[in-house]
Amino acid sequence: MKPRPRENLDLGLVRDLTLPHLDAAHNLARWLLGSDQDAADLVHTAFLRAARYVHTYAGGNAKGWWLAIVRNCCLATLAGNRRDEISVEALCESQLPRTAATHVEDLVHLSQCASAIETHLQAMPVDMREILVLREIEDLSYREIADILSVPIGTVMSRLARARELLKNRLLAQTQGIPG
Amino acid sequence: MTCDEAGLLLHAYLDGELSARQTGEVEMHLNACADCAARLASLESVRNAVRSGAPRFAAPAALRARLMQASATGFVVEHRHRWAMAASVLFSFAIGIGFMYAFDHLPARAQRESFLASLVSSHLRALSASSAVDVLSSDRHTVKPWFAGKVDQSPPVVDLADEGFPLVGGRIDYVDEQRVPVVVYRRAQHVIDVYWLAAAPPERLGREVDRRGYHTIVGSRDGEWAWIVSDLDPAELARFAELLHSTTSISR
Repeated sequence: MKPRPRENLDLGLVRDLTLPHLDAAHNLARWLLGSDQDAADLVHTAFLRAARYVHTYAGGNAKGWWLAIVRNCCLATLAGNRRDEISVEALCESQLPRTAATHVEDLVHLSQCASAIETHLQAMPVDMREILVLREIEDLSYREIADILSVPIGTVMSRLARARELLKNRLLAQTQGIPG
Repeated sequence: MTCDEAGLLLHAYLDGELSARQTGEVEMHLNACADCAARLASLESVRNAVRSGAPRFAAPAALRARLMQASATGFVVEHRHRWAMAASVLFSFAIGIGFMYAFDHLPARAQRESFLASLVSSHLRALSASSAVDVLSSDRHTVKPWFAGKVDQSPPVVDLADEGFPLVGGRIDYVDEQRVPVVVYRRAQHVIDVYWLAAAPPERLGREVDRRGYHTIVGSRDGEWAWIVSDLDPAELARFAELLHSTTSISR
């Protein structure tokens, strides 16, 4: 076989692995970092890292492999910016009494919250925000999310449940705070 | 099932992640328990609020162009690799010229590689386009006639929705400059493309190929060859191929 320069092969490969999922990567970075400019820069950085570590790709789900790299870059950036990130687990345990929205008007309010949802989602702790973005916006399965976050499926399930409960409570708190 | 047991399962139920047995158990509980049914309704409205209210921030065109440029020109190669790269380019030229003297045509393996590459890039192109199908329908009696007149032979279209592989539609695509009908199925959010080729592909039949995370399996029927391309899990893809095999009498 005619050998080709390794770098060129890798670039073609990294392009095929990442570019079909560029929107997903940008969306995740945008939600985690909160700004368009930061998200675009981060995806570029992640692309360079993917090119450098493309030999770690062992077949299988390319989207998961690529989103895991994007997520790690995001977390590294966030860790550099803020070292006082609140522990998610502690937050959930303390702020989440088990509630059921049984009143019809609550449900109506919830469905009208679409306009405020971006603000609320952006205000969620990082762990919960990323899992909601991966599940509700990117529509990934539990298995794929587990691979990206490097956690067991059981953890995906419980963290997603807590994230939804927290978001629900915040939405309800907001609608009940509004007079009328 | 108690309400506590149902608590966590409600989320998985909402996400369609439960087994058939668990789904049945949760539904039985929901029928009997108004509290849990109300909780499910509220979770559903939270989810709908997120899905309709939270934007998906698509990548800006400038970013895509920048990365295309980077991967085409190779400027991501680090400095210290330049000499090694130049040496390897020279080396490959020398070897390449040697090969061209030795053979007057490309070896079969290279032909196969190039065919696979064009198949996979056709699949990727379709995925990156706004819609992977030209005719969008889960009804095979709509999809099959759509192909008539557009290609020489209308490809087999089957209904595998009950097995978890719903039909999405069909499109006409180009592989190695051939006009090829493609029948598109779906498994969760994975797209499965089935390319039907009239000419024999340069590949032994029945082989599974893993190329860049996209798996292809091939089978033949009445001089038509089916190539299945998807990033689906290999075991699930094999099951799909098996189903296609049994419903369209492909031999493998």
